[in-house]
Amino acid sequence: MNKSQITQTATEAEELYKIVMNLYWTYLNTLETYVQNIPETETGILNELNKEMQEVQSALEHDIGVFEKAIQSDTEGLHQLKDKLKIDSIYENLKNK
Amino acid sequence: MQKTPHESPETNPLPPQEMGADNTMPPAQDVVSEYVPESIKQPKVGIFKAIDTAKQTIIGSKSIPTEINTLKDSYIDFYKQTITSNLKALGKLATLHPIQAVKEFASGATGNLRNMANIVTSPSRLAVAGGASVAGLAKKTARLPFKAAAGIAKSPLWVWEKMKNGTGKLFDIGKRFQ
Repeated sequence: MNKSQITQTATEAEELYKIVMNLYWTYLNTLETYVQNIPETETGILNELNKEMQEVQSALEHDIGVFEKAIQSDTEGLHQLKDKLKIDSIYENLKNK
Repeated sequence: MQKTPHESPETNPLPPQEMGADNTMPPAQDVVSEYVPESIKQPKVGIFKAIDTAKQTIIGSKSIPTEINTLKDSYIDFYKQTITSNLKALGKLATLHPIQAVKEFASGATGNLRNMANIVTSPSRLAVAGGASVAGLAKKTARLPFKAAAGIAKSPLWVWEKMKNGTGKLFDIGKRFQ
């Protein structure tokens, strides 16, 4: 993987994050508008939407978690690679002495 | 998150000031209503609170693009360092007699110079070859960003489906009260 590929992957990941968050934001605003128009007497529907919001929150946390997990996993991997490269380099130096 | 009366002293169902002058209990329905979560007593309030919580979650996640870019920079730095250090190794190779250099390349699949030369020549070639320690590293390096991308792509992106389809509970209710 070269520099331009890395840059492209990062740009795509960032774009995907922004698209997903914008979708959630639009969805929440739509829900807010709908709820404002629903009469208080429609308790059945309002209770259903309360449940819906629990699902929204859990889906949102899941999607954010996927991004965080991917970043964390790659960061850890990169640190491991750096450490391994250092160890290999020390090993090769010792072997060549 | 709603606090239950026993968790919060200020919402104690029987605070002294609410008791009658004759120390009689308040009406039963008042006691019961203190135990009913706000989301059930006032569904709209509950929904708006939940929407606000979700929006705060989104605002709180705004560091993700920065983290993605930090990771990208780390990859590029790592890549540059690897190439630079291996170019130095190639420099060492250049000082060898050509026949000696060929022997170095030919001797053993895991020879240090051979691996380093391979990285500079073609990272993709190394990725295919694998096996040797430095080659293995290059292989892993080439794969890691894909791992991240694959992880993201596997997300169900729940809301995307909901918005794309334009159907389901929310949309049905929306049509009714628009």
